[in-house]
Amino acid sequence: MHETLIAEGILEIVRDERAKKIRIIIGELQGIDKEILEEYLRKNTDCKFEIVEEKTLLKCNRCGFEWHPKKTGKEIEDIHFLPEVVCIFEKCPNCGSRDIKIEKGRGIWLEILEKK
Amino acid sequence: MVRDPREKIIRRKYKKTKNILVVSPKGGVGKTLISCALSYYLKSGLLDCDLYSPSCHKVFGLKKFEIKEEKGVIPLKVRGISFFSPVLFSKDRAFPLRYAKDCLLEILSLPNWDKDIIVFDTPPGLGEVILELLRLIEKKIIILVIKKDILSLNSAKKFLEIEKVDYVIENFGESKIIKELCEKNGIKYLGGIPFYENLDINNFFETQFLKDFENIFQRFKEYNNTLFNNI
Repeated sequence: MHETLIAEGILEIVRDERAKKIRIIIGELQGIDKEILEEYLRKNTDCKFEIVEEKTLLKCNRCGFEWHPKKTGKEIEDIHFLPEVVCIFEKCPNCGSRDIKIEKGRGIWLEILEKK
Repeated sequence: MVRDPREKIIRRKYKKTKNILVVSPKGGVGKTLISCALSYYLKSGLLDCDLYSPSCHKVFGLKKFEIKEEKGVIPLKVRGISFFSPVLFSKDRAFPLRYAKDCLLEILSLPNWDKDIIVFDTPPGLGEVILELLRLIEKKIIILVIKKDILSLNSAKKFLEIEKVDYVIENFGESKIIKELCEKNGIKYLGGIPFYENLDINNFFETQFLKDFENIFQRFKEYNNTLFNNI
């Protein structure tokens, strides 16, 4: 599973940084399965973690219009693996451009809140 | 302190593989064909990092891009190579891309490689993609592709100002000026590929280009004994 791969990257950071508590920010657009991620992490570390989802916001680079997409990586597998392809499925509701910026909701980030 | 777990995945993944970057700041010199030919002879992995205009799939005649998930995504198998590209997800549709770094990090972290050697086809220019590849892929062999024209030579010299190059492959002939450039910079010259009018990309694997490339490949093998212990 893709989530397992991500979890392994998180675990490596936890080990290297001797993290005791972390916050994981998941971008909504990628459609990561939070439960699979949580289960894998719980089985493989005693580091405390919280998972926070960042809502998606797309912005048109041409006219500046901002909107929330109809579908994310939960519904469209290609977006799940490569969120940048959202421009294939979405165009600006205002001007029709496909020159889109993922303003929010992309990727996975780790904040280290406490170390050992 | 914010961390991106993908960088950990990438560094770990490409520490285990032998990595060959095929580069040129100038477009249209033949990087894609040379990357495809090299990976074909090596029977290696091939990663199309030309995010703005991925084309390797065309050379291999790939039209179906099925995604199989297993600890990432399984690369496509074609002609003995394992192939990965953004087209697996764009399905060869128009894919406008301004912010390349995130896309590159996914393309690097997703493939579940079953090969020890990975060839990277790279985009032209000295922009974000090539700079991130140079940063993230610590151990690598760099092959610079050059044509004997003032534009390509000018660009090539600029690349040499920012990064050391291991080999040069010359496309569209063999020239004294490029051999001298290599000698001056301590770079091994692998050879030149002649110019072919009307090169048939649709039948690339039957072309004289590919047959002639074998000489270059053999020279590359001679210089890289340890790379080829298992081949």
